[in-house]
Amino acid sequence: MELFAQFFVTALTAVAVENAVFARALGINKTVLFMKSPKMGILYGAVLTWMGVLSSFLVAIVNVLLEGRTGIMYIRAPLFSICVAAVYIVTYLVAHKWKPKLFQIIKPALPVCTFNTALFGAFYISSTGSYHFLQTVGYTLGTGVGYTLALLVIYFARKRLAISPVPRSFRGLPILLLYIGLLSLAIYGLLGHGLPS
Amino acid sequence: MNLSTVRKYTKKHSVVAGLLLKNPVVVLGLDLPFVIATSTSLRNAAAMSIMLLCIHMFTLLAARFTAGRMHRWLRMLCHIFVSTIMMVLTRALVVRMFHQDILNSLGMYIYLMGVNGMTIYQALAVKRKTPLLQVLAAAFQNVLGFVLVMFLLSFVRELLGNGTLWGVVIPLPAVFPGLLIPFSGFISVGFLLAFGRFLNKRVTAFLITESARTDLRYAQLRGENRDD
Repeated sequence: MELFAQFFVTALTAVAVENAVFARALGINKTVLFMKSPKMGILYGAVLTWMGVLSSFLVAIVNVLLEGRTGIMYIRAPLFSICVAAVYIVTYLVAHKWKPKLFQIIKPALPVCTFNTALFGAFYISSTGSYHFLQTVGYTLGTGVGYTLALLVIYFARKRLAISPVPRSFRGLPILLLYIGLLSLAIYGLLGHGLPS
Repeated sequence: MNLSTVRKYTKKHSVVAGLLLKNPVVVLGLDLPFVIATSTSLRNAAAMSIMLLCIHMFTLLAARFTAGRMHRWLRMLCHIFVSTIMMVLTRALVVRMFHQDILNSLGMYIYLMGVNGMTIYQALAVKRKTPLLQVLAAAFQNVLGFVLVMFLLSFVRELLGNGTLWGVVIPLPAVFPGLLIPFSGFISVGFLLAFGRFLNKRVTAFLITESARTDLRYAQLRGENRDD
């Protein structure tokens, strides 16, 4: 029971407290910042969550095997890449062979969401935090869900900013980055952090 | 319209445009996480720049040789492995150059360089027929764009946020430690991009005004010659 409680707490922490986008600026690029519809955001988020959760099973095993060993900083990164690559290959081939309609839908999102700094960031955090198996899976699940919610918030914010009177130089990406920065500050304050003096 | 003036200024403008106005970070939105989170000191900027230089150049070199020889998804995996291996090697170099405490400063972002978006997606765009020197030149220009943005932001954030430059204390009337927190990275990049656009608008207006002035002078001279 305690393990499941840790799983949910870790997942919730990754969704809200340590959101990949707002707290750590991970996984953002122009493709996800300028999505054409909320469905695309949900698709990207869902693919990232799926790939992350599957990879986290392998990553958790790698973390257990590397625990207490010397020189892990040299082999951890390649091993994480191998884990993610293995899941990528299996997902790609299975979807291509047996689910061609689904494959056509997820094909553009698959490389962007698999080799994503948000995902690898979640793995490194779980590794340095010495998370056990359920915590690693929970943290990655929470990262994916938090990432999806962040993309949706950014999409709707962009729609509102597009109809607002914004100076010409700030239209598009600049005002969106300012918005994300202010939102990040608001979440930082809501969590009880104060600005350093 | 007399195009020679436009060509002369466009040639000079293109050097600046390539670094700031077609910058891979602020225009294409690549590698934003690294710029936003780690541009808190000049040492960080230097370390990340060295990391990106080695990773980007070698990965694009590998991409030139894998282009057209294997399927796209397999190419992607090759690029990821090359960039990860280069990240491990460059990390050791950076620790040797900047001392172990750079790892505390950069945190996990030094490891995430192995999957940075600029390298991976530009590696996929490399074609087999592209000359090798052109690939390397384009790669170097991308890195230069990243370096410029990183150093600009790091200079401002370290000076105003910490009151230091490369660890040397600079006496200032006030410092704003809030500039070192990630949210200010978003705001700083937003302002930098807006400033770049403002500059572009001014330079374009200058180009058009100068061309129109040259046209008028040329037309007046032709008018005088006809009278003669």
